[in-house]
Amino acid sequence: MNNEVTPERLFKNRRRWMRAAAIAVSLPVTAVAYRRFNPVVLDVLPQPPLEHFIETQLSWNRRRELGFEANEGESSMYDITHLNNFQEFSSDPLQVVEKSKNFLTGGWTIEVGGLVERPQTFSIDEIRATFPAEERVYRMRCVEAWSMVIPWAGFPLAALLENVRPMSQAKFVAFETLKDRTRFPNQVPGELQWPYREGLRIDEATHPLTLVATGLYRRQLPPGNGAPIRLVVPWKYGFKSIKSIVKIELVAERPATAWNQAAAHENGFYANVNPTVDHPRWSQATERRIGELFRRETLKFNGYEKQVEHLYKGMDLNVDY
Amino acid sequence: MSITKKPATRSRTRVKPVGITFPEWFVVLNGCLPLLMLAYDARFHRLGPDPTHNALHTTGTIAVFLLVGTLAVTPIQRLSGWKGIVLYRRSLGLVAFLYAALHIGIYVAHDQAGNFTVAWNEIVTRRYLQVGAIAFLLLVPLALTSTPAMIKRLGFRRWKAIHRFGYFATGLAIMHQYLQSKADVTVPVIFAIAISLVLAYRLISTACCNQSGQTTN
Repeated sequence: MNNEVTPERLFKNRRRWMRAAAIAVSLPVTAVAYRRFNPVVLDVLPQPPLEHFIETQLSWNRRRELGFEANEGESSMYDITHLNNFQEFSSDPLQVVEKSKNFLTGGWTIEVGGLVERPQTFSIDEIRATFPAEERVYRMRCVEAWSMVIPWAGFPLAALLENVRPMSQAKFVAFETLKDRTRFPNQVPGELQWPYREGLRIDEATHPLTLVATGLYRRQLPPGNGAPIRLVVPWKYGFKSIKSIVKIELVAERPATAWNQAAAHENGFYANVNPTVDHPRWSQATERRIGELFRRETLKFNGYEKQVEHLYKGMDLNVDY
Repeated sequence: MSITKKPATRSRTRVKPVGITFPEWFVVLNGCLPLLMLAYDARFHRLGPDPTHNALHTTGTIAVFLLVGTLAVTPIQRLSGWKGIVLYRRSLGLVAFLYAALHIGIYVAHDQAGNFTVAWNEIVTRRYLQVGAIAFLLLVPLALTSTPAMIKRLGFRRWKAIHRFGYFATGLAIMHQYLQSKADVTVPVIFAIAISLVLAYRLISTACCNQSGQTTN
């Protein structure tokens, strides 16, 4: 019995140490676990400069008029490369930059065919040499209500289509992303059907604003932004601007498109930016401009109303959203 | 240092010892560390291109994680026999509530630019926001009645009945998380499985062991 007193004090002392140790050990474990799920990515991947880049001959005013120059503060390279919806790499837009950084685009080809007189397969180098890129500063409005201003480098899709000579029966243009599970880690069976597909009506596709982008900030497209070649349709929600294209096909019927197939009530075929048609889960009236503190109003056709409105004359955009 | 047995037994009948106990320290320190890291990242522009969404997502996920953890305490206690774990439960629940409150605070103050009318309109029209708001409202009375004095005032039975709403709140919070996700629902599904296991355990043990459940094990 008498040996109970000393052990008790020792025990209490030891327990205090154990508790201190428990806290001292648990805090770093908590910190590491938190970091594991909330990584900080600060570096910007260096991209090689874009060859065959030409300075535009158009005046500033003319470019403003055509919508080629948004004339708003451009988003930083960091922001543009670190917030990407690119399902093939990750469903988390913040993870895409990391998941995509080793994406290889060597030997890339684009097949352009369907209802055309001169079907062709271009290598990416041929594309770059045949269609020199110029700068287009466009607003990008994501269906998830954020937006950026991006200085793309690219050429009008109309120039490419002209090159293959569409037949008169061609009414739509269908696009496909590369399907390659080994290069796209998240190209797994799930919400979307692979390959990712998009489509435009032919008059939309040949509109001067519709761009095939091969670069960004006068450098080659970074992988997370759709390397080596992508579509940019600035008056539509971002998901229409399909990335990493391998196939362009002219067709007679409206093609099936990825997000429309996955959730037609949320994502229309046209997907024109429209502040008056809400997404079922959120309002499209305002948007978060990345880099700005507060929301701003969303503009009809993303501010390109003057340039594209005539394409939709007589259509009810509440039905054909 | 003269410890005799009598005061010890007497103190057992008294109210809980004042001050913060070790389990509380443990939970509060570990629970608030991610918050400090989040604040640090926010302050030094380390939250990436979409800081508001990042902070919303992070606080929401942590809140649900801690809620599930809080509800898992009792099954873990019974299955492992570690009685003391129950001492961690209240502070776990309160830290979860703190994150849920921050989550809503960031939504209203930042995502909706502090405009209560706009935020309210959004909340009443969007299903996933309705579900999330109800989950939070259910948590408020639980947080308010979390003190020992409140248990005494309400009586254990009534208090316990109120705190059963923790299951509803957590279920709705997981549903909110599920509804807001675009394609990848892995995280809410994992939480849903966890909470189903907890619920199944509790229902089975209540059914077969006739309530209290402190028997066996």
